[in-house]
Amino acid sequence: MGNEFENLLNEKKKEILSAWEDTILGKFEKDAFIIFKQQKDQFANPIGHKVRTGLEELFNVLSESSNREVRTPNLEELIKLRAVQDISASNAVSFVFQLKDIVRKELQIKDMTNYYKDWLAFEARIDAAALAVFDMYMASREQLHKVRYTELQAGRDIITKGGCPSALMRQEQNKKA
Amino acid sequence: MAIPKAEELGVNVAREPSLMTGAIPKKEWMDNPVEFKEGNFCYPAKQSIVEYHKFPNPREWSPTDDDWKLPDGWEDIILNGLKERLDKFRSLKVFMDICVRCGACADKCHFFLGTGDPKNMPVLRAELLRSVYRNDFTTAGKLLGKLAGGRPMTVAVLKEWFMYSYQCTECRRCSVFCPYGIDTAEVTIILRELLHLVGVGTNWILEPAANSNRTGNHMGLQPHTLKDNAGYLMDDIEDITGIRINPSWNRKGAEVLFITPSADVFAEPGIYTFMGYMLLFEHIGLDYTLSTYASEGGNFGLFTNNELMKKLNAKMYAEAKRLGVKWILGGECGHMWRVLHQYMDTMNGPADFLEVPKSPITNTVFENAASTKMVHISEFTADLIKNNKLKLDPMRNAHRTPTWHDSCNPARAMGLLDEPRYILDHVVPKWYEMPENTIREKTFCCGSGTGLNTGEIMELRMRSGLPRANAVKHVEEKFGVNTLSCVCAIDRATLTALVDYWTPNVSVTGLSELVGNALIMDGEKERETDLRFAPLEGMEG
Amino acid sequence: MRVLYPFVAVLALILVAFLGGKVTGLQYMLGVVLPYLAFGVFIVGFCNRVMQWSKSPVPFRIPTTCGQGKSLPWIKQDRLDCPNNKLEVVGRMILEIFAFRSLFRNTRAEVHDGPKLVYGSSKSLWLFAILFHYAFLVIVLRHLRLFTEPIPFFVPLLEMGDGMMQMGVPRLYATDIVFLAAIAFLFLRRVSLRHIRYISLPADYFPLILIFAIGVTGLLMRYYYRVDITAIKQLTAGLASFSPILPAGIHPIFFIHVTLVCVLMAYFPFSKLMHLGGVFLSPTRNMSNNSRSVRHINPWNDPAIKPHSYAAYEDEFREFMKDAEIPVEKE
Repeated sequence: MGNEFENLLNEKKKEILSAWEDTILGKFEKDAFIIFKQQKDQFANPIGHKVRTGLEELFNVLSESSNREVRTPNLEELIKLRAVQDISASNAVSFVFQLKDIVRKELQIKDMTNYYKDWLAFEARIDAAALAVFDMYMASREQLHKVRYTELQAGRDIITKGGCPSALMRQEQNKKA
Repeated sequence: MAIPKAEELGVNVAREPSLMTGAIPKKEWMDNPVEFKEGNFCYPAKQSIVEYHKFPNPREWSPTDDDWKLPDGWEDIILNGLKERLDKFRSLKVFMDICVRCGACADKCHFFLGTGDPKNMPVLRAELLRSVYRNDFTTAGKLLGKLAGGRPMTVAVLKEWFMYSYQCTECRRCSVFCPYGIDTAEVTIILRELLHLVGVGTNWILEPAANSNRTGNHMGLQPHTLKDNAGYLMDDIEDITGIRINPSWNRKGAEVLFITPSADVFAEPGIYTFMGYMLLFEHIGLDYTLSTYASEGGNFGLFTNNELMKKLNAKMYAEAKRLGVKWILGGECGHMWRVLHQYMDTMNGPADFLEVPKSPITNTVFENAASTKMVHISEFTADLIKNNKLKLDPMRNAHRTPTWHDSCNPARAMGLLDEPRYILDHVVPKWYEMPENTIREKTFCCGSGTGLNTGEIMELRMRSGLPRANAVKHVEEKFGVNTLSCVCAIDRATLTALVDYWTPNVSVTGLSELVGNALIMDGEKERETDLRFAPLEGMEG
Repeated sequence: MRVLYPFVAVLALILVAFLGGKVTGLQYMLGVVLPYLAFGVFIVGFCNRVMQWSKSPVPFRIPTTCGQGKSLPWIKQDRLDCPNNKLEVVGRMILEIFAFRSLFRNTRAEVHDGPKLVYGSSKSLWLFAILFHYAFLVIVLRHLRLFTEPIPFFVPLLEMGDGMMQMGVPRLYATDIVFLAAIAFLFLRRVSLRHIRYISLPADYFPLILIFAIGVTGLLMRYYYRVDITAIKQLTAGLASFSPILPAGIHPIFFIHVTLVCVLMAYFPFSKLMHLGGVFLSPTRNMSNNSRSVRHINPWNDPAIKPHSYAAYEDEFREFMKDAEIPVEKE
C-alpha cells in the first residue's frame, strides 16, 4: 500500500471505525445498541468496550504497512466475545470482510484507477486478516470446550448423575435382598 | 447460517440475523416470542425428580418442543397461584403496582450487559409478569387490556417466563439502583414458583435439592463417602504441614456445629477452602463437629419455592438440637447466607435451644446473631485476627496477588463487606480492589448463580459473567492480579470457569484457603507448598 | 401508538372541558361536582390501595443492603445504606424519599476509553426527577392560597422565594418554568432514548401529557388570560368550606384546568403514580437489616413443613455410618 492511501485511511479513521462498530453492535436490538454504542465506561459496558478497542487494533494493523501480527490483545478479547455469542461461526468473523465496504464508502474512491493497486493490496490484507481471525475464533472455541471439560472433571456433575443417589442405593439393596 | 447457494455468493456477507431473535424486531416486546435452542436453556427436570419432590405434572418434556404438555386448565393454575402469592407477599403486590419504568435499572443487569437482550433489562423481566397481573388483577387492565399494558396468560407468555426467570440470578443489583427498591429477585422467585405449579423446572436445581433432602447434601454424598472425602483432604494437610487433623462427625456435646456447602468437601477449588477451615479450627482448638445429616450449607430451595427452602433449611436447627451444640458456625457461601440471614430464623426459629454465639477464644459475643445463633466464618475469623489470636504469615501467600469479589448475597442481602477485606489485609501481602462501580453493593454477579451453573448453557454463562470478568481483566492488566478471592461456593465453581475463559492466568480461591495458607500451626514442618501443592515463593527450586 | 393514544385522550378531555365550560349547567358540573367527585375518588382510592398493599403480609425481612451491615463493634456500619434499627431506617427512607438516594447512586467511572461524556444520562434523570417533584410540591402548596383562610404562613414565604426572579406582573414563578421544563425533559427522554421508549407504556405517557397540560393551562390562566382571581377564590374557598357557589364570568380555561386536575386525581390511585404511596411500603427499603438478632414473624409460616427426619436418614444409612465410625442413635 502506498503512503497516500494509508494517509487517506488514517484521515477517515474515526468515521470508518464508527461505521465498523455499527456492523457488530447494530446486530443487537436497537435498545441495547444505543447503550452499547454510547456508554463509554468500560465497566458499565463491556461489550461496547471490547468491540471498540478490538476493532481499532485490527484497523491499526490493517492500515499500516508493517510487520505487526494480526493477533493483538484487544482483538483477541473481541474474538473471545464473538465465540460465546449465540451466532454462527461465519457470522462471528464476517465483520472483517465488512471493512471493505465501509472503506470504499468512506473514502469515496470515485476514480479507482488511481488507487487500484493500493486497493487490491488492502483487500488482500483484509482477506489474510480474516483467516487469522478465524483461527483466533477457533482457538477461543477450543478454550471454551476445555473450560467445559475442566468443569466436568472437577466432579460437580455427580450432582445430576442420575436419580437421587440414596434412592438408587435403596434400589440396589432391594435387588440384593 | 444456512449454506449459501452459488447465486447468493455475490451478495454482501452482512445479511445475518440479529443475535437474539433472528431479526431486528420492529415489533413491540410483547409481540416478540422466545425461541428455545440448545445452549440457551437449562435442561428440564427429570420426571423421577419431579415425582420425588411431589411437584405437579411430572413428565418428560423439552423446552424446544412446541407442546410442553402442560396440565389441563394450566392458565387457571397460574392465575390462582399468582393471586395466592399476591396475598402472601407484600413485596410482590407493591412491586407489581409502583414501577414507573424510569429505566434506571435497565443497564445495571449483568445479563443485559452481557447478552444485549432487552428482555433482560430488569424492568422488562418484571413486565413479563406485570403484564399478566395487569390484565387479570387491575381495573384498568380488565377494562383496557393491552392499552393498559396488559396481556392474557398464554403458552407464549409462559415460555417467555421460563426463558427469562432462568436468565436472572436473583443478584439484586437492579434493586440497589431502583428509586423504589423494586427487587427483581422477588419477581424471579415468584415466576419460578409459578412455573413449578405446572411442572416447569430445571434439573440442575431440582436434582441437587432432591439429593440434599435425602442424603443431606447437594452432591448426594452418603455419610461414609463424605467422611472419606474429608479424610483425603486431611491427608493432604498432613503432607503439606505435617499436622494430622481429625475432624469429628455427628458428635454430641460439641460446642459448635460447623456447616458449609458440600462442594467444599468434594469439588475444586472448594476443597482448599475446606482445608483452610480445618486448619483454622485446629489452630485455635475449637470444640466443633461436622454433621453428615446437615452436610449442606447451600439451599436450592431458594431457587425453587419457599416451602422447599424451609424444608431443606430445617435440618440445620434440627441437627443442632439433636447434637446439643451451643451455636452454629457457617462456612463461605452466598445464597446459603441469604437464607440464613434473611429467612432461617423466620422459617424455622426460634432457636431457643441454642445460646447467643460467643467465641470461646476471644469471648466476643456475636450480638448481631443473637436470635439466629449462626455466625459467618468471616465474622468469626475477623474477630480472631482483631484479638491477635492467630499466628499469620502473609508471605505464605506472596505468590498470590488477589482482588476481592463481593458475592451478591453477602453484599446486597447481608451487608458483609468489610469483614472479608479485613481478613484479606492480614493474610496476603498486597491485594487490589476492582473498579468502584463493580464492587461492594454494586458488585457484578458471577453470572451463574441461582442454579444456572450448569454446563449446557456454558456460552450463556460466559456472556452473563462478562461484566465481572471484564473488571477482573482490568485489575489483572493494571496491578498484575492473579487471584480472584470470594466467600461463595457457587462463585468458587462458576468463577473458575469464567476466568478460565476470560482471564486464564487468574485462579479463584475461597478466603479461608488464604487464611489456611497463612496460618502458622503449632508443631508444623516448614511449608514448601500452599494448600494446592503449588510451591511457595522462594521455594520453587 | 403508545404516545398517540394518551395524547388524543388528553386532547379529548380538554375539548370536553372547553365546551362544558361554556354551558352554564355544565359549569356547575365541572367546577363543583367533578372536583368533589375526583377528590373523593382520590382519597378513597389512595387509602384503599394502601390498605390493599398492607393487607398482604411481609413474610420475610428482605432489605437490600447497600453498605456495611452491623456486625462486630469495631467494624463501621453504614447506618443509612444498611440500617439496623427503626431510627436508621427512618434516615434511609428520608434520604430515599426527599433526595431520591437510589436514583442518585451514580456509577462513577474510573476508566474511560473515550471522551468523558459518561453518566450524564443517569445523573440527569435524578436531577430532572427531583426538580419535577419539588416543583410540583411547591405548586401544590402555593395553591393552598385558594383554599384556606387565613392563608398558612408558609404560602407567602414560598411565593416570595419562588418569585425571586422578579419579571413582569404578575410575577413569574421559577417553579412554573422548572416544572414544565422537567416534564418536557422526562417526556423527551422517554421518546428519544430507544431503550426507554421500548419499555414505555401508554400508562407512562398519559400522566406526563396530562400533567404538562395542567401546567400549561395554569400558566395561560395566570399570565395570558389573566382570569378573575377573586371569582376563582370564591369558588375554591366555597369548595373547601363545603358551601360551594359558582360565581359568574369565570373564563373557560379555568374549567379546562380544573377538569384536568380532577382527572389526574381520579386517575392517581389506579396508576403507577401510586409510587407516591408505594415507596413507603417497599420491603427492600423500609426494613432494618437485623434479621439475625431480632426474629421476624411470618404470619403464614407453615409449621407442618418438616425436614426429612434424622431418624429416617439414619435408618437408611445406619450400616454405612457404623462402618465409618460415625456415631448413631440406634445401634
